[in-house]
Amino acid sequence: MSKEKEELEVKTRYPIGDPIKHFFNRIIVGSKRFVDIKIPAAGSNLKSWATSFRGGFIITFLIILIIITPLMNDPVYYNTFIIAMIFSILAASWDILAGVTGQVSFGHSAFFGIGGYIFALFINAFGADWLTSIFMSAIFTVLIGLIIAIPSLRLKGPYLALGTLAFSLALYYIFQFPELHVENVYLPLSLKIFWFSNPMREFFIVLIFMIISVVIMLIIFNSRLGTVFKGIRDNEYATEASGINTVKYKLISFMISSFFAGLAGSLYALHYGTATFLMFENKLSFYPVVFTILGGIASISGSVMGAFTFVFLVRIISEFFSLLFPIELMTYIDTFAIVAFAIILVLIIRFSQHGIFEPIIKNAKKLWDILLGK
Amino acid sequence: MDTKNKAILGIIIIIAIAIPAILIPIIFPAILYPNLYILLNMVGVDVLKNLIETLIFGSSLGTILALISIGYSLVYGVGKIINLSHGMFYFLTGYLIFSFSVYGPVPYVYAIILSLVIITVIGASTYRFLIKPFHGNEIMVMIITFSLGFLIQQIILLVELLIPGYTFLSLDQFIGGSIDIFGAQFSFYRIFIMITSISIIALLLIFIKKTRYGKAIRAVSQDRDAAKLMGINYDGVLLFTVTLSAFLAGFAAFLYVPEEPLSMGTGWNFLLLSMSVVILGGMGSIPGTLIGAFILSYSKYLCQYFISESLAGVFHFFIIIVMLVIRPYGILGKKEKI
Repeated sequence: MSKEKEELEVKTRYPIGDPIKHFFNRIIVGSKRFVDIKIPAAGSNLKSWATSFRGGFIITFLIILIIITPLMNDPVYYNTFIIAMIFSILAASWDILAGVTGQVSFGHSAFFGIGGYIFALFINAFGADWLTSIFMSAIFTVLIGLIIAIPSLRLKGPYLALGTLAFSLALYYIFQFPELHVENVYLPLSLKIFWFSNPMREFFIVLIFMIISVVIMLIIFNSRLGTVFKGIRDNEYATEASGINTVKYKLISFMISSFFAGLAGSLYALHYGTATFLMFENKLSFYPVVFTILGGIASISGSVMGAFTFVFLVRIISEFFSLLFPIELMTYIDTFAIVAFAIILVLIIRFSQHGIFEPIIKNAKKLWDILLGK
Repeated sequence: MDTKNKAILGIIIIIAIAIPAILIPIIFPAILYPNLYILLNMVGVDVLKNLIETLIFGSSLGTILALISIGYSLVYGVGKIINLSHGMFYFLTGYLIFSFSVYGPVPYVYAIILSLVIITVIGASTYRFLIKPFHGNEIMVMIITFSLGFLIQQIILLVELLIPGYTFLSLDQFIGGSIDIFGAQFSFYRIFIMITSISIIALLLIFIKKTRYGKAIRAVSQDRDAAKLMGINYDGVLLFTVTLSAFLAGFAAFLYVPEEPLSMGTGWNFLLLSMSVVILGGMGSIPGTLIGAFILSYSKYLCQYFISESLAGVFHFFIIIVMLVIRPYGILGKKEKI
């Protein structure tokens, strides 16, 4: 009722004879409504989540992460953590698209690679600083991602998965065409020196990005927007029948997802100092799928935990393998890691369909209750 | 007209139309305007040779693609399974044949038989252990078959790295010799490929059309629950279909690998090629698959010779994307309730 009153006020205060002010007022009124939708009672939601067991578990984990890593000051640990955090942003972005809105796409590496390339191009061509470039690349990934999103709107189920897979693989091969002269884009030396000279600084910057991204995605998950997404996932016809424009909301979901995937791509390009066609590789679009399945499909925090677990598990297993095999094979660590990853992948998908974190957290909660004597 | 006759007629029509359609614009102008061809040859465009090569290479690739894609399409039509490790079955068979015959003391014929048996067993165990638990959920089946394909590729890479000097070289073509048509080599091996694969496809079609088990397969692809009510063992039919598709992929590998050596991207390449054939021709429809295979291979080679070589490598992606947007059930597919 109050919205109608507001609109009436606007219409009487600024009649048609004053179109510019009318226009701006409509934007203000519209965006106020949007903001209200996005953050309903965020404060109390956050408090109740944090004091619950699950929230406490995750917050403890984060605190351990933030305190222990700088104390160890080992570049290998920094590297692993940074990669884990970048992949967790990617996994959470895929989860918004697939776990929450039900649009399962196997082509997320397209957004990732486009983000990385645009970021590198921005820095090289416009000489902007890294922060602006990251945001601009995320925004442009959204715009270019619309090319992938709009045809995907009418596909469902396996056709959507195949179509997005075809898109991302096409991009992988197109970026290798000799005729198009697409080269690897290298970031300028000054930026690389600034970035790599202090791994702790990089760690904290990426950590801040990860926390902000995941918090935004959690807010979306818990808001009306998230509910609409879940409705589209569960029963698209019923949602459409309720009067919600599913096309618009599917597009919004694609846009949010590609924004964060582009963000992750830019951070990845920044971390490695180059943007190559390898960013479009097939396995990069399956990493978020695996991490999300590992952590539980429809929960953002689950996909983050899945990403961390996987990266660390692969690192631990490859170190374990390196102890067994002689030194000459140390150069093949990457391949060992990938074979370990693939074996774990098959086993875990086969045996734990709904993510291994729910049972772990439930059992940990039971243990905690027993310890507290409840 | 029933399926088998329609399909065989389709093949004959396609080849019959393609040959004159390509040769007539070559032969008549070449007779009437020989200067044109001399001019084009000076410019560097070997039009005649390219067209003949399109016909030859396109036909052989078309029959091989038909062999691989029929397995893929059958598996989808019967059980709605999208098997993303199909390309890896091809790759693995080629590798096994190579390792048994070159690095092992096994004679070539026994190597072929052994690897075909192995790939059949792998196909059966893929169904039994990986696909069957996830049966209702298409996305999970895609994920786990993709992981299996990825695993196979990484294990092969690892084996190559660990054992020094172990790289895939090539397989011998056991029928040598070729004839020369206007500058394009038409090897007898390709004729052998085409004859063998067409006969295998014809045998397969006879099996599906005439035998009782083939009728069971058709029944399950039409209506799963009604087939169960009729007493058909749905699980057994699916197992047979997946195993058969693995065998067909292995057989295609045995035929085509001597002609085109394996590389690391071959597995995924053949998977996507067969996927685009099936999407083009219609998921679950065998005549459509045959037509799609030939259309795709001819247009791929035409693109390679006349437009750009790199574009030919990604041509099938654009076919997938375009077909999914305008007509996802393919040319001859049935309009599913999506």
